[in-house]
Amino acid sequence: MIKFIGVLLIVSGGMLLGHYFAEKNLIRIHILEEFEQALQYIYGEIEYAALDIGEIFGSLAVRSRYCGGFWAYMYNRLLENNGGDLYSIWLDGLDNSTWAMYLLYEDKLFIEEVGKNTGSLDRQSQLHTLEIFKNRLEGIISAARSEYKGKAKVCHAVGAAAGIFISVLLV
Amino acid sequence: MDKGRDNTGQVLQVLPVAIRKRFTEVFKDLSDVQEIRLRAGRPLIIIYGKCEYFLGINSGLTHSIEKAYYVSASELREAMDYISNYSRYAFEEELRQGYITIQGGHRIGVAGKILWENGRVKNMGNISFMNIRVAHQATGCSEKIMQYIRHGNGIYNTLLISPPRCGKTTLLRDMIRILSNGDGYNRGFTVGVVDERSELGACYKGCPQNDLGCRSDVLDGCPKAEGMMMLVRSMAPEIIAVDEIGSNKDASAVNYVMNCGIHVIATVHGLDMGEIRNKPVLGSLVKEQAFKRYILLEAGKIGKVSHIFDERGVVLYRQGCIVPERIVTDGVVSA
Repeated sequence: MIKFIGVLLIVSGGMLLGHYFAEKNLIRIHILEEFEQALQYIYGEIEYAALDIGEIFGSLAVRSRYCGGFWAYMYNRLLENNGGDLYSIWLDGLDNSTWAMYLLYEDKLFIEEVGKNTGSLDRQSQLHTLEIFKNRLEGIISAARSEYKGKAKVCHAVGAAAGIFISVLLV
Repeated sequence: MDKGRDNTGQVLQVLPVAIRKRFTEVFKDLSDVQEIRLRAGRPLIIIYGKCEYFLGINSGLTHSIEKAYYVSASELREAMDYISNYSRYAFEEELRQGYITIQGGHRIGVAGKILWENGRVKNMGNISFMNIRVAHQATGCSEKIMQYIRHGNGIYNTLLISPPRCGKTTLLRDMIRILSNGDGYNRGFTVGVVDERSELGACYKGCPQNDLGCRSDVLDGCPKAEGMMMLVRSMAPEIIAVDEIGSNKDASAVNYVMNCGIHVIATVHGLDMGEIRNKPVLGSLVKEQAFKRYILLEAGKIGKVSHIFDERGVVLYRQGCIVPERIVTDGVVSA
């Protein structure tokens, strides 16, 4: 009986681990979608009202679910005028963000690139650059979405298999 | 007249960190600082009181260029980041004009590499020269002349005339404030201000940084003629104030506004009444007696009113002596 409960626990643990990795992929997609919306918002505010970037970050801090802390950090640091250009502040913000752990290395590079090309351009170039970033992000998200189901199945299966394998080894 | 205002925080905030630190050691506040000039690879110059100083490399102010603090190109970039709130795109139009107004109404003139396209300035890059002009509002400077432009429950259409840098914009700004606020004896008016070059209100994000009174509506950065029409249609002003009229469009807009029953206070470049009368556009308005009061500022002296005339050229005020208001009957002037 104890062996049976032990096996059950190990297999469930493996399945949960598999589920966690599957969920991690889903959260990654949600974060990327939120970032896409943020890019769209930045684009709109620059095009319509030419608001300065600090103000836009301030509004995003209130609107965002995952990245709110990052936008709030950016807003506060830009208000301080205490040295460093926007890109270095952006990198600091990214380093301090917990949601960044759900992203792949390529996603982080992409977000860093957005920070590198924000604020220092003229309006036309800024809008054009944002447009390019939006398109690239759309591609990343659709790839992530199409891969998600397959990946989730693999994660669940590998989790369950790992649980069974460990159980067999222990028994 | 109150010239004081604590400008320290707003101006300091746009200075690069290293320079800001030195400034806070030297100045308690910047109320006596007129200009701060930053040039890439050149010493930092401060116009303080009426004298020019270099910022010292260690601390303090100096007249010796050897002991001066030199500004680097990266510090100018840093200052530009602060001035534009890290958003160069939001200040394209201002950069095209060559200046940016920051919070507090301080104006920052910039120069660098001009990008020229289709016969106009498209943008400015490599900004290597910066002139921070600390704003000082002279509150109360127009109090003495208000009696000449008020009548009964209204005001006369008034034209302020002076050569450049004699304080006509400052005087107009204070007149707007007084007319808008009113006082114990005179009611306040709804004043529409068309501020094409952001000199009257020094608006920052749409809010005037200079005191224009509690009943003033400001159209910032709007061409004068279009702005006057817009204000008439949208804000129902009793007075429209506009700085530096001169073109045909401006004159027709002034005419239109007056025909709508709205009073106008405007300024114009000029040395004397003769010059204004001979101007092709404004001359016709003068001849039609559209303006009832002409306030002439003295050349070379900032803020000194030399004469006030009425529409027929009768002197109502002369510097040094006050001429009692005269009565004009059938074109004959009598004391």
